[in-house]
Amino acid sequence: MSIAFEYQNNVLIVHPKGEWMGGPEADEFRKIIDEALQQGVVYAVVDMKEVTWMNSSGQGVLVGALAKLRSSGGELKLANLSERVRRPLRLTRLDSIFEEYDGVEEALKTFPQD
Amino acid sequence: MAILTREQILEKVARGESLAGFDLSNADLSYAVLKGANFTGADLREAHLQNANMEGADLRQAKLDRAFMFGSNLRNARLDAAEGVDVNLQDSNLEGVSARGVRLPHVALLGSTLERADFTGADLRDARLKRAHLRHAKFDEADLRGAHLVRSDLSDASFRRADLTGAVLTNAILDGTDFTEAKGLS
Repeated sequence: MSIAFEYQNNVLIVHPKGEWMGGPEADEFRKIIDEALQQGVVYAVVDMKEVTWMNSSGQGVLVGALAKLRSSGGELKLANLSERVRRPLRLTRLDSIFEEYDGVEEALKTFPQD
Repeated sequence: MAILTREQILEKVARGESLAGFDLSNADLSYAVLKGANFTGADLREAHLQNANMEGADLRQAKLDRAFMFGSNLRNARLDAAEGVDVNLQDSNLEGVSARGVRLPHVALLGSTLERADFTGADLRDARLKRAHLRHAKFDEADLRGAHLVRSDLSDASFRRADLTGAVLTNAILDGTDFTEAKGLS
């Protein structure tokens, strides 16, 4: 998995690519979230467009990031989920704890504006 | 026991060296990146491969008894004629895997993705495939006696001449599934 990220209007946008499996590959994602929090950024969108598969460890990483952001008064939202990535979230009923949007722009609009 | 340490195994993989035929039993390779590694005929019995990334790896004729491969990525890997009892491949990605003639009785594949995988002639007796994703997969002439396929997605999968005696398909999705000459379906 590779991860790119950017900031737009004080919102972190993460673009993971490949298989989302947790473990050491997810350390980079955790670091990106931690750095955003250190800068006072508490809102994030994870663009799942190029995630081809996700296992339960990968889901755990997402949940961990969500919990971390929420505890700071923020939120993590998901965008561009394919059916194959949404499916494991649905099986574990984690789809109920994430807000999901068809695109990054749609997700960005839902955050408080400066 | 494995004759190589985890570090030695990972170094070999990183250098593109073959591990064909090596004794890697009980090796801890959890979370390791093993993309394209050659494990042909290797002894991986009771190996710890949880969350290992084995995309495109060659595991043909590997020994896999009680290997713990939970959450691993085996996309496009080769497992032809590999064998092992009580292998745990739950929550794993086996998309596009070639597993012709594999012998994995009682394998755990719960919630795993087997899309477009080829399990022709496989021994999957009592396999646990609950909520697995088997779209376009091929199980022709496979032995699936007693397999548990509850709530799995078998859309456009092929089970021609497979033996499904005692298999449980409750609430499975069967759109376009080919059961031509399959045995044991009631």
